[in-house]
Amino acid sequence: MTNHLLEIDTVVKRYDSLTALKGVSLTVSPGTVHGLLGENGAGKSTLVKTIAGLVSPTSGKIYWQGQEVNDADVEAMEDLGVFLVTQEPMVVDSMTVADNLMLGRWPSKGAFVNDRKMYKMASAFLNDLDDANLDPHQLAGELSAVDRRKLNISRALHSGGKLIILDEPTTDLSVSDKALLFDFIRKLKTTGVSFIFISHYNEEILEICDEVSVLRDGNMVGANQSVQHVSSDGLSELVVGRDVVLFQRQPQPEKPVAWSLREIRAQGLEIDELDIYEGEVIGFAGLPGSGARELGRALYGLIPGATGHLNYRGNAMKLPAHPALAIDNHIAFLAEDRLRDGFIGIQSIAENITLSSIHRVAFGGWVNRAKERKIVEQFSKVFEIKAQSQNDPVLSLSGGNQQKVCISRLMATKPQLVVLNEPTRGIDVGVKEEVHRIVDTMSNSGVSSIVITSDLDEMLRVTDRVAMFVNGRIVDVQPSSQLTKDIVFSKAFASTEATRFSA
Amino acid sequence: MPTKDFLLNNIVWFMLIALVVLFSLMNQYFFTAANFQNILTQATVLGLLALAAALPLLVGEIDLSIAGNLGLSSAIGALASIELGLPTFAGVGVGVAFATLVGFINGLCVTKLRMVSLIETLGMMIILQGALLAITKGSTIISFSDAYIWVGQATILGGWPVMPFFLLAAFILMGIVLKRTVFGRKLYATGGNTDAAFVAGIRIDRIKIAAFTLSGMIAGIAGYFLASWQIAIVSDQGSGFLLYSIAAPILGGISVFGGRGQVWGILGGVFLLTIIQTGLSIVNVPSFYVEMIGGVLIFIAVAVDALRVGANGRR
Amino acid sequence: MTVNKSASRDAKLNRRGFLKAGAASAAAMTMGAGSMALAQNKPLLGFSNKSLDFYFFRIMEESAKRTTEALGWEFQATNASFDSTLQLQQWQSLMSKNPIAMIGATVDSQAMVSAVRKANAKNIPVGMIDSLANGGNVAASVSFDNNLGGVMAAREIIERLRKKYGGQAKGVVLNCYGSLKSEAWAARKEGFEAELAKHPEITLLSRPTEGLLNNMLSVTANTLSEFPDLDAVHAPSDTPGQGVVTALRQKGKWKKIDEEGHVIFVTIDGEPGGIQHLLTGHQDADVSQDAIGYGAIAIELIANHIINGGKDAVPLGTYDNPSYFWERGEIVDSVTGPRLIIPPFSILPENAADPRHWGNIAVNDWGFAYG
Repeated sequence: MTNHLLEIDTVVKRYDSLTALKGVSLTVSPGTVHGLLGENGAGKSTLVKTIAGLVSPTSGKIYWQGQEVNDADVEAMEDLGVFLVTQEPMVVDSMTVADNLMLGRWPSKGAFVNDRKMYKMASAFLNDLDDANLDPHQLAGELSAVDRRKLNISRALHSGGKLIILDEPTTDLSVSDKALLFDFIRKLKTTGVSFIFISHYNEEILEICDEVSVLRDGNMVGANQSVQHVSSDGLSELVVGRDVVLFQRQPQPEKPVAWSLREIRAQGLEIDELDIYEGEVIGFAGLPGSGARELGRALYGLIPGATGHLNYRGNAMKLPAHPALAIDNHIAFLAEDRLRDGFIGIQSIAENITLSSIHRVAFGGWVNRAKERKIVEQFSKVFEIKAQSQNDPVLSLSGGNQQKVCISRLMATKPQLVVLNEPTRGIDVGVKEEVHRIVDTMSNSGVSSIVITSDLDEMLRVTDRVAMFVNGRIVDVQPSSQLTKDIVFSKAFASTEATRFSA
Repeated sequence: MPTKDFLLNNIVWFMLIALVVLFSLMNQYFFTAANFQNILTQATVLGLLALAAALPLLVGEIDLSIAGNLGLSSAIGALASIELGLPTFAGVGVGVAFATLVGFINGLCVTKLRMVSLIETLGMMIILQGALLAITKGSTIISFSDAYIWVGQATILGGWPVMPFFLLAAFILMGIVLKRTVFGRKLYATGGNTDAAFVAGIRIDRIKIAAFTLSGMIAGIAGYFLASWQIAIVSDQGSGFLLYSIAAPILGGISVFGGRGQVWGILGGVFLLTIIQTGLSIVNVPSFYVEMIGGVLIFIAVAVDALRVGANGRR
Repeated sequence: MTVNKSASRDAKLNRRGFLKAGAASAAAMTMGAGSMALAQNKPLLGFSNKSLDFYFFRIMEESAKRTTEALGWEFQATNASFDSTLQLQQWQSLMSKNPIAMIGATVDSQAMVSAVRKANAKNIPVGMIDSLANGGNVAASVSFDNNLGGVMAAREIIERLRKKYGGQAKGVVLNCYGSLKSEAWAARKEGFEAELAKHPEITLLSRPTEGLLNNMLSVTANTLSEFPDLDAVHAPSDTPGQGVVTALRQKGKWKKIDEEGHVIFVTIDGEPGGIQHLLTGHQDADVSQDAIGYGAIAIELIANHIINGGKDAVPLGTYDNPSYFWERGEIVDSVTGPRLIIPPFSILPENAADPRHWGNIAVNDWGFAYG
């Protein structure tokens, strides 16, 4: 018993009318990475907040190195060595790495910070970590996404961290950055530090964790399972509570060309021609800066100064210069950063769904609210948006439902070409498949779609063809049925690592 | 819990009622029709100006030049009819057109030239105040035609001044524009999340320019009302209104970060500030404490409002 | 005459500067003297005004300008817009031009002391008008007794209440007092209310307006609703007092003195607007200062006695000048030196047309339209 670093014993957390944790138990051993899986709302967040001292349990016990911990707040838990590193890295951009490392705990004399001592201490500490590879004098704002994650973890370690909780640390990280982060975690593990690792991706859990626990609806449905004894499908089933039938797009009959893209030019983008068929789902694969994302943005008027020609069923048009023009030309766009660019969080579901197509429910500048309500009801029903009413602010919804609102907004513009960036990022396993089916249904009605996703499994399952991008050009286009993850990776990702770093 | 939300969202009105009760207990004249007529009349100019302040706030910007715009545009309008002999409506039109142009320029500077609205409009405010001093040269404009001052002086229905009816009309109109029109939707969306609104196909710059332009126009109308009511344009016309006109919408729940707030709340904020001022002038408070007590009352109002924002934010 | 005198003064200043500098070459000195002579072929008088937002201050500045130019000097003015820090900065800039004299109307009497001392250190004579400095060596101060102005306004009202109520001073009086941050308004309020306090049968309604026209309008309108039989209103300045006029109009109380329902109306300042209301017979009295007298007298005293008269100080004693309506004042000694207190006087309907009132000179002779 006493060799556990942390033990959670039948912890219950009740809010007013809701029980978020219904008697959860798990253990974390020293020098291990412990995966935590579960849908949004399953209780993951409440559980880690309880461990970090942000939330006090209604009942149940928490043991730290065998000792019972009572009524500990954040400070008390941090004193013990428990740190929570959240999704939004808490870094002060305008300060240096060393400043951030010792944020609020700078070596000082009276009111004055001893800068020399601080940099010396930071240097020594970061050298010890070795893999951190961070320069104490660099401004935190100049760091890459992965280095910011590392800085946060280093800060927790510097403050005496023994158990570090990572809440979806791979969000926004590229394939190679993810590898760097995992190396860093493995290295720290050998020094005896433990991690709780929260993720939506089974593959990540299987790659980095030693043990995994799965929460569903506030219950622990699989505690402390060794990753050697579980499979990805098995985990999905545990998370959702039933067999998850993975969506697989069926081969499509031949269709005429709907969209022709010609001579698309922008900085770092040089696409001579690409035809997209009616009702086709085409995937764009490539590293950041390869042109995959950039072409999607250019089609929607998001790249200032981009030029080119489009042709939709014989109607020639210029590349739109503003999203409003793109919408007029029946092009819709789903932003990868949902929270920032996807929706107006403080506004209602209804207002968000009709945001891009408001003129369709208006007459002479006046919004016809009855018509609006009807349209919103249709979308809510078809896409099964779960909310108490259409007037709920979108921010109060789960990630999956937020994404459904965003897709509804796109569809309300009656598009003929939809650019989908990371359509399933941060979404529960079950809802992911729903989104895949929505894309499929859309294409059956003749709408062409472009899917840009960092999840290659997903890309191959939902698309008809995949276009692979390197250095601003399309290097290959192949039917998805003839592709494998390895082929796509070698063509669009691996082979260009060198050029990317030398660029 | 809808009842709790109802209480919190209308807190400005509950404070208003509390103050009316308080002042009525201290001076029984306070609770008379005559006094309410006065309060409503006095709230008209502040109310219009608060609407002018609210529009830029709703799109996440701020306009400090509205009070200066009010003063200068009214002087230009009045001089156009006095010096050039234009008919009253044309003179007023010239003033309002000028104010609208000032708003439009503010909008252009903030969007196309990417100037920070706080500083841009501060500069504009100083220019407008200076220009007013330059054209009045310290003297007071008082020679208006009867038609010009009609709005500020006329009464109907047995002694009711007409100004408050315009106030009411302006708020109803603005409420409809914000809640029922495409423009209103785009205004809230732009302020609520500018990036997302842009990606959703809204022409952010146009909406912001429209907000500033409309704001300027309303400030111009407020300027005409103030001159007509005072029968005078002084060389620092409007300077006393600036802070109150920004405070009223914020008290009434308009977020300084944009995208939040209702017209109903702005009206509450306007009445609250007017009542504090009127109430303090008629109850017997020692002279040297009046300003301080007024400040304390506004401070309490803001503190209570912060509770509302906090409660909503935590949800 | 004046030019010669000041030229020799320039030379003296240059000599002093040279001595201080010590080791400057003769060539440099000649060049310095030459450029200085070019820049200052006319001596400069610096005028630091506290504001231009009131007609009163504008005429005060105009009078100083006319007097200065009549002496053959150059005139330069600054406007502090009621910001005392700004005034000190502006004062400093004016002083850097080596003026022959500095005249100031202070925003803050205490803050101005340091400015006066700086001028003293450079031997530049200083005159203070309207609102004075609390310390330093001021060659001539010319001002109005604001407290007495308030007292006189109160007396005008009391006298008319007596007449109205058959010898007994009673009734309801509204005082629309201005911002207490202004020393002038605070003193007027104090004088006015102290005088009224001697008559306990009079009900005084003392209500704040910050000296803003729209506040005077709303406060008077409110008070007229609360007290429909209000007997008298006092506004401590003519410009914002126009708000009282508008309120009286709105409530149908803007009546001539002998008409039924007239509300006694007394203001302070003697601006053309007030004179106009006196002439039409609507206003009862306007306790006047002398916007024209202030600057003119201060500059004349300094020019005649110190710069051109060679004396060290302005002599104390009686000041007689029949070109002013008030004709005679007393120069007394004060903490900062000689001070002429211009006696407040009431402009009444019967003498409002006198061409010597500053308001009449400003409008009729100088052509400064009021409104």
